[in-house]
Amino acid sequence: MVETFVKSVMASTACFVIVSRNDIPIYEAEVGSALKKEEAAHQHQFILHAALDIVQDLAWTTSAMFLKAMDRFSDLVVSVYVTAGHTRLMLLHDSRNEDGIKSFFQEVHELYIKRQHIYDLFSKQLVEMNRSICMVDQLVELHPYSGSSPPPIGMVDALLVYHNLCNVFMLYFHK
Amino acid sequence: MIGVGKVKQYTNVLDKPLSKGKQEVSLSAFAFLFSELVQYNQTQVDNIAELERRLEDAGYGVGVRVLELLCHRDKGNRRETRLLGILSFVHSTVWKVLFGKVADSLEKGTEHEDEYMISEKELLVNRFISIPKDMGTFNCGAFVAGIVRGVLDSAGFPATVSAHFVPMEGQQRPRTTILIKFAEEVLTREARLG
Repeated sequence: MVETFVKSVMASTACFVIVSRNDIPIYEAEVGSALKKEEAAHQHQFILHAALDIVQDLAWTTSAMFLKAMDRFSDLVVSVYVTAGHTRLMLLHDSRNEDGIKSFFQEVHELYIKRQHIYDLFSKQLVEMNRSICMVDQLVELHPYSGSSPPPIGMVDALLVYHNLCNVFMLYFHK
Repeated sequence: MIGVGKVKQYTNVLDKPLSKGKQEVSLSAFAFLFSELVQYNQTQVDNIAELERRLEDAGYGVGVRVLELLCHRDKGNRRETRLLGILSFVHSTVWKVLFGKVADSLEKGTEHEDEYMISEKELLVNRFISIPKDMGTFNCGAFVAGIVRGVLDSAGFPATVSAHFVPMEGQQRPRTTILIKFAEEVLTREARLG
């Protein structure tokens, strides 16, 4: 699936967040020059968080899933893709290639549908443990299991999801 | 020897492409599984209300996933933003995929603005179930009510959904009605959107 898309999108920085229906971030990934600067990463998260309100209003005016560039901040653009269950795939980037972004979102959407049970599992865990932002690999660390016994199936699947998401992400934004 | 094209074997069912997979499951297998589900829950609870709630919760998870899958597969990635849109989506598309036919009827409630009813002559899940007299108004259609609630809830139309038997003259078995009562915010948003 991933190998069929070859062309990359030519963006230098990108921050990708998956936010669930109840406004809980499920997944987060940062790529590009922001990796070096701590504050830039925080700023990206803040921009995406602020864009949530706009997405909320915009989502009810159209029946399309891909909302194009709906917010700007200096030279960065926020693009959002809303799924049927109101899960928001939000991307902060500085690329102008809309078709590439759209196909990226569609791929992630397909991956999300196939692994929905994993994301539901994590949403519930996030609510119960009262944490606001987690990365998938941090959650994997938190889950208590002794090293001797094999990890439960859910965790293996979660690692596969993470791996797949990283691959898709890197393929699109790796320069 | 007839040459057969090589069919790619997917080791993981999750790796199969989403567009395929309209598969049929044997009715008896489903009836068996559903009866086991009801029986298991019966041993866990003390009263009927709790049993209904558990069946509903079981259906809720199905509803959430079915919405995502169907919107992607059958509707070409168009979301539903209007009340009538999502109701007809449930009434035709969801019913067709889950039960093989569209629901019998979709009606708007006469007394209250926020009530809608989907009726079915014989719900598939109730086909092989008989309710003993001492269980009163219990309806295993609570599972289907949970599915509908899951679909509506995750699409952004919170509602309380329940299943009721409606006796019909001239027919032996009563008709089953799924009653949908939308929350306040849904109506205000509908009014705002015009």
